[in-house]
Amino acid sequence: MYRYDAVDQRIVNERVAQFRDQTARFLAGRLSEDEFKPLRLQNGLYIQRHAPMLRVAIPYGMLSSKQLRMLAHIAREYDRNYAHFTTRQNLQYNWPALDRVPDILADLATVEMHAIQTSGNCIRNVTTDHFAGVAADEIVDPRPYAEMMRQWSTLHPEFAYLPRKFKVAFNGAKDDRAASAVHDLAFDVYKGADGEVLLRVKVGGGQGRTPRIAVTIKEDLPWRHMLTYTEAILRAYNRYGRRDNLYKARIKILVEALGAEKFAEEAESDFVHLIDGPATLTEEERTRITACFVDPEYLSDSEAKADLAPLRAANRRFDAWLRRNVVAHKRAGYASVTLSLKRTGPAPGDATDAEIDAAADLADRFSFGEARISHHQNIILADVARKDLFDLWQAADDAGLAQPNIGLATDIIACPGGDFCSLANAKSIPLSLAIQNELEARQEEIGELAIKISGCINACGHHHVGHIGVIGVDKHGEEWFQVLVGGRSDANVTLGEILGKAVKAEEVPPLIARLVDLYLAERREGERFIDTAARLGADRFKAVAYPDKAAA
Amino acid sequence: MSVLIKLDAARKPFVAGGEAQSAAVSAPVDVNVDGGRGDARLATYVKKPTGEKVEKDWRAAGYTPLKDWLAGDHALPPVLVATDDPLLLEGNLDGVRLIAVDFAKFSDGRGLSSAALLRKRLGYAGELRAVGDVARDQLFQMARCGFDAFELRDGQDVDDALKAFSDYGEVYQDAADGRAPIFRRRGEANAAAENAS
Repeated sequence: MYRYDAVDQRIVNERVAQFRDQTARFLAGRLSEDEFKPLRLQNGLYIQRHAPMLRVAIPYGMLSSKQLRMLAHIAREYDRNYAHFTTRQNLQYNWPALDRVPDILADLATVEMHAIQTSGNCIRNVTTDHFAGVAADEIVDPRPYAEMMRQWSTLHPEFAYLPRKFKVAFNGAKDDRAASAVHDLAFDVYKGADGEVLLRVKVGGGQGRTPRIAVTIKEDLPWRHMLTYTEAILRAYNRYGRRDNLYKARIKILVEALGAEKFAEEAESDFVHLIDGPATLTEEERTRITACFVDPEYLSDSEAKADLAPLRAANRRFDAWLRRNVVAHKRAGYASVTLSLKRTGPAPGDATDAEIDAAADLADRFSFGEARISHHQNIILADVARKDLFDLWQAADDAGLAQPNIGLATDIIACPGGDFCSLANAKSIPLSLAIQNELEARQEEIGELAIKISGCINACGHHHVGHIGVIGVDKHGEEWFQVLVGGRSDANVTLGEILGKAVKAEEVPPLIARLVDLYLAERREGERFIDTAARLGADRFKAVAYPDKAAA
Repeated sequence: MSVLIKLDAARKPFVAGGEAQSAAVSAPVDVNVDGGRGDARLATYVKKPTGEKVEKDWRAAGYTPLKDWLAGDHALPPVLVATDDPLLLEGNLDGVRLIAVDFAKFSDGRGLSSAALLRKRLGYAGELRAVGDVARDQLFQMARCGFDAFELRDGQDVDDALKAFSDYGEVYQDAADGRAPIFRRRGEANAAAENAS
């Protein structure tokens, strides 16, 4: 993974000092809340229902075991012994004290971490495929490009006060695991006929109040021009994006208002002045950064492989875990393993300090000391030798991280919701627990099913791209929920369709059970829920969602 | 006139004019409020409605609105508000020694792009002055985008403001302050960073 040099470390240290000074001036009454607010937001510090919330950046989801242990330490030292992994591959602390936040940042800086631009109207943490570099279907490892983007976007002076937040994602594989089409700016990374790395540039995707799929405005952009083209896009957005209405300020609204073609023309008209200028990337820099993402010292396939059939036959839980939590690796002797943070009980994505420490130990023992966070809010060990899988499973099971449910109905994505977030209309966490309880017994029979829950229209729980999506709405001060069907965030990205009127929280689990019943009754050989949903169309699901209405 | 800070040829800040005013200070935030947390004041904060929009009298402030300036009224230097297109000045910059860019709100970043375009696209080399809601915590960014003069908003601590220009000793990207992107000078920057630490 990328390691800081003296420059990276200096910038992060200076950010800590700057934020310490800003916090001190605020506490001394020399900086008004009005002035302090955007400053703290640009450093990931929100004010939530009960306390400040600090969001820590995990660039494109990659972590070392040392960094994991620091995250656990901070949870113990400054918080209530747990933290929350988010749908943007980041981590949040829910209970830090405001005046201790600079100390948290100083601790993070000692392990090359920070909270820069994890919030605010600026370029946010860059995300990518959690299987980047190891996926069998990968065309180009997107991480060096994500890292070059991270550096360029960090503390960019011109784009510090955009109309609204700006999220960038990279996808370098056939199957898009980065949900790139629902980002403000996304790059598909691929190779041209001569082997040169090229970029497909997509803008204007997003979820929230106005869900949109990103549109392609540029094909075959040579990688050297990644930053200059991005600069042109951001300048167009900074100058012309709406600032009069918070809900119409994202770039998707500008792209839609102008039309993708007109927006692309505007960006191109600036790009022609920037092309081949100083921000044009160099082969030297790409080589330097790519060297951080070379393969670890893998065992040969014959050394790493194992015949797991006898263990599988003897142990049904291990067998279920292998089927659900272990996926193929680009090397035949290796596999990528997901440690599930979707236990029935704790909030999706929550982990205790002990669990984070345990994950660090597992990374050290089994996966070259590295881990990743997926946008599904789980922890990935990307490089596990197949001969170690049984030992890893036993150790993960001891740590409570081996629920065999990845991709199944209880692997729910949920935002923190009304229990923590001051924006939410409704509580996502108790609802996700109720849905888990409803479906857990038959989740193996149901197979792959992505349920995604957001507590409000801001869609942090990605409900628009859930096979089944749930969104909290406020009705006269009460919590109600709408249910969507048919969304997906893979290469065939589709937005889900709302089935009908909102229902109360207790009606959601049985309603979802009826949707699942319809699928089980109608599915054809090999069809997943999402396939059957696409074939049948939303109307069939509407009828079972609201049976009284259908009967009337 | 409020305090005017300028950058010298070496990009060092100095007070170039105006009257220093005492910095605004409100009651300190009690970190022990609300169970040892300092956020009581934050949590209850509600943004007030801004009320009627008042057109600013730019001539009284010493500037000509861009539209009038382009129409030939050159008695005072031009000022660009957030919605003004700086590219309209293309071909009109001969002999221009001062351009002001207004920040009606510090959190509106359009003026930063205006400055970058004036410097990088139009090659404007005269004084570029930030006016309006100009405060300590935006000065570093403004300077990087090409501003070399800053008319501070009232109530700013001048000594504090002068410190803002050295918030960071190193930066990643090129902007409009003459610095090359870090990847074009990583070796020397690393040596400097090691000396600084």
